[in-house]
Formats: sequence, structure tokens, C-alpha cells
Amino acid sequence: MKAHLKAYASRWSLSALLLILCLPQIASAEPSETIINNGDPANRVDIAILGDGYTAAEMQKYRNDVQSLMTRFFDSEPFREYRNFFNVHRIDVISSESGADHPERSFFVNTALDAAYNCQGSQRLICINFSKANTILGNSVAPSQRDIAFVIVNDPEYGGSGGSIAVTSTHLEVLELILHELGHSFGLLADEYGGPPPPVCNSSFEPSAANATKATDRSLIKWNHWIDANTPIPTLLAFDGVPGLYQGAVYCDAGLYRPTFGSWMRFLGRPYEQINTEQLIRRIYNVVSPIDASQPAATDITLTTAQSQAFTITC
Amino acid sequence: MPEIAARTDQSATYRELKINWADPTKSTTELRSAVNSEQQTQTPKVSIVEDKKRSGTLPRHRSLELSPAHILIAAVDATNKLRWWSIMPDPRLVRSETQTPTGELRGENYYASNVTLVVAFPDDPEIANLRFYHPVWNGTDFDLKSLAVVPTR
Repeated sequence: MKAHLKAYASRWSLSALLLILCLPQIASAEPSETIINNGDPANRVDIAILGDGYTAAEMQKYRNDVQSLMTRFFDSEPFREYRNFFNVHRIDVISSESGADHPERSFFVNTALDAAYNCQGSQRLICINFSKANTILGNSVAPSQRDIAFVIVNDPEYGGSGGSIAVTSTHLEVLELILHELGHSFGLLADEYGGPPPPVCNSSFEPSAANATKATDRSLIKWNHWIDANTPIPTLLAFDGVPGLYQGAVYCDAGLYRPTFGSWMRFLGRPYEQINTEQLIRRIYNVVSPIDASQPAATDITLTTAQSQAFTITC
Repeated sequence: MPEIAARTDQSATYRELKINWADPTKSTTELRSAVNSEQQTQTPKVSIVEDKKRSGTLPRHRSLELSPAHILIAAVDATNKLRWWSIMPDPRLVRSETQTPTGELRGENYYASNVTLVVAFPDDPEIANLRFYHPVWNGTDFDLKSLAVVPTR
């Protein structure tokens, strides 16, 4: 009996050890790799990407999915033109099981960030455990390496969410949604679509965002400098790319106006258009100085007549 | 917030607090509609889960640009003088947006009831509190609605 117990305890210990070794390190520092390096993170917009629902055997797929996401990201303006102002860090988060939860069909998997479809009863809304994601981000990359954070969920069904961390499935069209969400979280842009609520329409005062206004006097429109003098105000054109004053924005069908007929902040797969692109570029410059370094370091320099001083900048 | 220069002198180390932010009346996984949610909820229970000192410097924003989808973190000394500030996307916010048959987007915003956030700030012994504010737009300016105060020493 004693020998039997000993053998049982030994087997249990081995099982426990194997279990501990096989379990992914949840919410700890995970290996990360800088896959796009354009300079000191202190002077770049740094994107950190995490995966959920990728097992150890699926890490190559994860790397490929990250590459696809970034290719699409840097294929769109203004990020294409300003790509040298960005760094990208891939954090290799390993899950015990592949995919994501689908509560609507009682399908559940054990993943590192607990990604689940059908969040709040909305089939396309994927929720993750933001506490775990923030903990891994905090442990894996420095604060200057996480200006923007994405989570890719290893599931082909259309789904995602926006917020402090944008979440996307591997469905190709969701990448379009991620770029819309980035307009909010990074560009501080408003939605350019109307109602019905929710969210609630409030046209009682001027919105804070750069791409919405209640002003109908041309001189008071925030993006007036983009509007051709021949473009009527309000603008009733129904084609893209012409800055004007188009009715319907920020969940209101009337009373608030947007700058173009249909930008990425209203439809997926469109350009951001002029006004939103300008705002995104302003936001890039909020993080990045175009001058990386300058010489001499001193800010006060006194020269006599015969002396010379070289001034250099590094961009 | 006139003291933007308060961010210019940084030490070579920084502190990183992992903070749990929870609505005591909600379950840990619950989302609630963002419509008037701050008026509906009780003061969040805020607790420090982890406090680490790390080497390196912190990212700097070149201008202070607020938005209702972000939170402002002000690090103040014992006399409430600003020592440092930072803006981060509101970690509670979850956006649900989808395409309609016409191609237009529609969406709804939620707040997570329980979230752990990581806040980095300079390793400055004078910093006594982190103050968290939600910028609320009033039509001409942002009013800073106080969300929480976290003592740092």
C-alpha cells in the first residue's frame, strides 16, 4: 500500500510538473521581436501586437498573420508615407488551445487572452481579457514601445472590437475595421455616420473632433482651408474626395456635419480623405519629432569673429 | 493644464504601477453601455496590484491633446503641484462597430467594469499621487472629471 502510494505520488508529481511546463506563461513577460525598426522608440510611433488563440505549433501562422496585418496597415495612407516614423513589435503569446470562444454554439477554448465572440450578444464583437493583455504588454515591452496595441485573434470568422487595444480576427475585412478604430484611438477622430441611436445624437454643441462640426458658416468650419471656394455649403454631392460640409455625423442624421461624403470614418475600405489624413499626420507628429538628434547639444553658443561652428541634424 | 513643461525633466528610471480598476457593483467581466455610464456607476475601487521600478525613459507627447476616449493622468506632489502628465486611451472603453447592408458603419460603445491597467511615470520621489481624469467636452473646452486618485507612496 505504501509503495503504491509512493508510486501514485511520483506519477502525480510528474504529471504536475509536465502540466506546469506545458502551460503557457499567462500574463507574464512574453518573447517579443521588433519586426520593423525605424529608430529610437522614444521618437517613433510604436505598435505592439499580441496574438490570442495561437498554440505553440501555430507560431509561424501568427508571424504570417502579423505580417499580413502590417502590410495592409502600411499600404494605407498616411501610414505608407510616414512608415519610417513607426516601429512594430510582435509579442509571441502562446495559448494552450487554438481559436476563440464561441458561446453561441457552446464552443470554448483555453486561450491566453480569453478572446470570445458574441460579446454583449453581438456576434461580431470579440471581447478579450484586457487585464491580461495590459499585463503582458506591460511586462513584455517598454512604455515607449506600446503607443498603439493590437490583438490578433486566431479565428477566421469576422469579428473585432476597438478601444485602447484594437482586436481583430484573421478575417481579411476586419483589418479595414482596425484602421477605422485607429482613427478613433490614435487620430482622435469622430465617427462620421448618423443614427439611429445608440450611441445618442447630441448636436447641441460643437464636437471636439477635427472631423465634425455644427458650423454652417463657411468661415467657422474647422476644415475650411480644405474647401474649394466653388463648393456649395452645405454640400450635397454624393461622391468621394471633395472636401465640403456633408450633413450627418457623430450619430446624428442632421445638425452635425462631416468633411467628405464617405471616408474611412463612415465606410470601410475608403481612404481617410484629406481632413482625417491631416489629423492623423498631426497625431504622428505629436509623438515623433522629425529631427532625431542635433549637434552641438548646447543651446547657447558664442562665437568670436574667427571661429566657426558646424550645426548638424539627424533625421 | 498649463504646466506642460512639467514633463521635460525625466530621471533615468521610471515606476510602473499595475492598477486594478473595478466597479464594485458589477461582475468582473461585465460590459456596460457607455451612454451615461459614468453617471450610473459608483466610484471605482482602485488598487495597486504591482509596483515596479524600471530603467529607461518614458515616451513624451509633444502637445496635450485631449479626447473623450482618453484619460489624463496627472502625477502630483504632496501639495498637488503637477510633476508629470500622460494621456492614454481609456482602458475601459470597448467599441463595437459593424457594417450595415448599405456599407455604412454603425456602432455602440461600452465600458469594461473591471480592468487592469499599467501606468508608467517618472521615478520622482516628490510624486505623491496619480490623479486620473476623464476629459468631458462641453462644447468649447474639456472639463476634467475626476475618476480616481492613487497614492504612490
